[in-house]
Amino acid sequence: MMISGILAISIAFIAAAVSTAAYWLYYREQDDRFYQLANIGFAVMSVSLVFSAVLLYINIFAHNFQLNYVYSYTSSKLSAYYLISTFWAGQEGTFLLWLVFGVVYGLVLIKTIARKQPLVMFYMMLVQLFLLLILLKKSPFTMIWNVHTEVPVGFMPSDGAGLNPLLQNPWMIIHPPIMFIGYSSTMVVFALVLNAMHVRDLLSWIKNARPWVIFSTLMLGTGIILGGYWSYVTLGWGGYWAWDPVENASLVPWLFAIVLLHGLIIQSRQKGLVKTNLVLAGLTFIAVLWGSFLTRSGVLADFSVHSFAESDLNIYLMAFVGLFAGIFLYLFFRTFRLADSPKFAEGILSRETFILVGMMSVLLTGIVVFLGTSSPIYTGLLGKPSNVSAGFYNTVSIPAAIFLLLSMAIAPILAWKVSELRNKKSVLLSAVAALLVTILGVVLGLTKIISIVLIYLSTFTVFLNGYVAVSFLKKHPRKSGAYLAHIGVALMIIGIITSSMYDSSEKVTLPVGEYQPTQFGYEIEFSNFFKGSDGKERAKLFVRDGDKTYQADPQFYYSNYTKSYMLSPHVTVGFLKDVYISPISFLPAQYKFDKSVTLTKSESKKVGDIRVTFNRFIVGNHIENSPMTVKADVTVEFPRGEVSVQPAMWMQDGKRVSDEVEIPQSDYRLKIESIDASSGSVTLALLTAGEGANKPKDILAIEVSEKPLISLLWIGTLFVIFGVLLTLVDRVKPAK
Amino acid sequence: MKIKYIVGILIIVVFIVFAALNLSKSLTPYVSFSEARKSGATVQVKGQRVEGSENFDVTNKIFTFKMIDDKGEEFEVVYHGVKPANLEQAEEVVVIGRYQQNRFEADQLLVKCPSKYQEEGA
Repeated sequence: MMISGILAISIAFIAAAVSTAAYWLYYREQDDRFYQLANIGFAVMSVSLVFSAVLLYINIFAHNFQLNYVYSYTSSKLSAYYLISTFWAGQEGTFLLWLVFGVVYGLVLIKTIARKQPLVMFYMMLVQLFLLLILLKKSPFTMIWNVHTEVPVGFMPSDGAGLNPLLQNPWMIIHPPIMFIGYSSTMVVFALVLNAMHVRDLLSWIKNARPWVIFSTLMLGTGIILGGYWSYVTLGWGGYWAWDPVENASLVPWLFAIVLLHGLIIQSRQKGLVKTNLVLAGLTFIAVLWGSFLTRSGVLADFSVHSFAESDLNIYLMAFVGLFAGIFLYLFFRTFRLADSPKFAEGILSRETFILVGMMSVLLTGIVVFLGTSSPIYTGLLGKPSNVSAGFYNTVSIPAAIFLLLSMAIAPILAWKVSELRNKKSVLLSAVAALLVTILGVVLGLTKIISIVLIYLSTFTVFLNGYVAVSFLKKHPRKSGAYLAHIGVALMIIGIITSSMYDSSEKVTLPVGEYQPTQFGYEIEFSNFFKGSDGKERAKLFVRDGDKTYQADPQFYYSNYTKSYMLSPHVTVGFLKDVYISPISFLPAQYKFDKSVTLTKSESKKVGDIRVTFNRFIVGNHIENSPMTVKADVTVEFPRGEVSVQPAMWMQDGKRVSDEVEIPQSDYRLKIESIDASSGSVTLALLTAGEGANKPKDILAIEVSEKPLISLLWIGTLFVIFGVLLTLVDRVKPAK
Repeated sequence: MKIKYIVGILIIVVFIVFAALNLSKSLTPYVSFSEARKSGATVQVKGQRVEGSENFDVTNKIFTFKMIDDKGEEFEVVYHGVKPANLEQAEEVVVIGRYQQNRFEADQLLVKCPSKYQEEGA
């Protein structure tokens, strides 16, 4: 079974190599037989890859834990939905996913331009070939005993390690594949630009590249937005974007793709930016490779909240980056002199000037994020590796956002080529309307100058683009995509400003069963923990606002997978503000050691005013996943009654751990202090909390925050996605 | 239209200088406690917490604990906030803040867990 997986990848590799060579030979010799051979090679590779993917899924669903990949990322408890997502839980799976998307892109290229421009396929297959090499080195079909040498050959683990609980989230089923569709699609743009430079035709490639660039922009953008939303609703730190290396690695290619998208518009309209566009197309793909190197090689392990799995692929990934950057630079320096540089952007108030300003803002932001994220590498060469704080990225984003908004606001009503402001009336109206909104904002509490400027520019952008979009929607609805997307970006900026510069939060400690006041006027009570419908522990909170009370139930549970507490927020969504309640920690009431007592089986002793009887040991796996759990069955008699309790002791990370069991209607708890296996005796500790009013209570610490107008951020993202989608539809099937 | 290019280039240069200045300002290296004491600036220190040294003042929400840095020096850390949930599970603790009056005043307290979390990268 597993042999067939590795065999399939080997066949795919050989077929890809044959195909790559044959596309090259067809280009050189123009012999049709080479073209047939190349396509056959492509077909064999495609079938083998699809077979590998299906085989991996079969093994995942069959719970074949002999496969290291299946063992490492899945378990028999996972629901079918999450089993689907385990495919891309590990590096090997993501490489395979990329390759399968490559098959789809290859089919489209063969249907359209491969015969006339075989080098496009040649370069794309070269990338695929390299990915296959990595997949051969690190295969998802490796057996568990080949990775863990202490495991005997043929061993079948009873269950897998499971999927990280953070990834057990509906958003995480769709976020990674969309992200990878985006990453892998930049490979097509890269192949198109390499081919263009190779055959020294720097003009016509953009017609083929444009829909692909829009597609990459759409997919990368959608993936990033989904990731941000996931972070907001599940991670509980209150934000959607942390400037973490993993996030930045996805942001940079998106920004470059956006710049390229606009560069192509200028080239097709004005014949300008020929060289710039070549560079941008190369940069977008190199940024994807660089990001994949940064996030997978372990060089950032010290600088990210995510613990990166160190990988032995460093050399391969570095070679990957180096090889393709080298090919690109070689072809670029061979051909860039051929490019004409016609004069364009003559008028200061022409549309292209403003588009250039916008491109420049996004490009510089991308470069700065790229350099900031890579900082541990170059500072490491000079001395101590350092990273940059999130504040750095926020600060440099502000001037970039100002220029970006200026360009997005004005560009739609400017004419190409000549300095001419059309629709002076609409500009004036938008400017006044934006001013009124901003004044309203100031009345409602905007105080920081930067935020007032940005909100004014954003609302101005929304109104002016809205005006143009509406007029387009009447005549050519499909041409309104760009304006809708720009409205979306402006709305996002408003939402980001209000929710991050004007959010307020308070840390509150909640003793169980008591309403505690907050600075927001409402009171919160922590009631108890309960098991949610997904089987995970949640805290039950009541939020009382005047005479209205609602329940909030943020997640708070211990995960054996991550060996840590998992916290997720409760978000009460509103148009004007979100109320975000996130647990910080649980502080159980401290019970002090009172007395201890050692008992053998069936022995009974009086401790103070209570009598403790040890009935027997119960051995088994009663505590989740923990082997070697021992429970003591104990009967406790005290003046007010009698009760049976079962305190437990188990091994956790090489240490003995025991739980404290409440003795109902008393001020005592009981726990196992030690077990003596030879005499069959147990030593029990009696703990007391003190009496009456001084009795300590369990405390849940939470953070409550209010995020004004964060809804505009998410509404904005919908505009962006829909706008770019509309542009793509318009590009792929132009209206007649 | 030379002026336009000059203005454009000027804006770019100003932006790059602005970014570079901010970059060097916000680079926060990991240092040891003795270096933190000497500099007095905002730094981040990595280390292990000393088990049993924690004290959490519930009403004022001040969490203090002792920590040993990578060079083996022990220090008292004061964090104005709530004890994080995963402190006991943490393999490593990172405090970001500055050294003041014989103690390390932490603005941020990060715990690194032995999570096998493998983010999807490119």
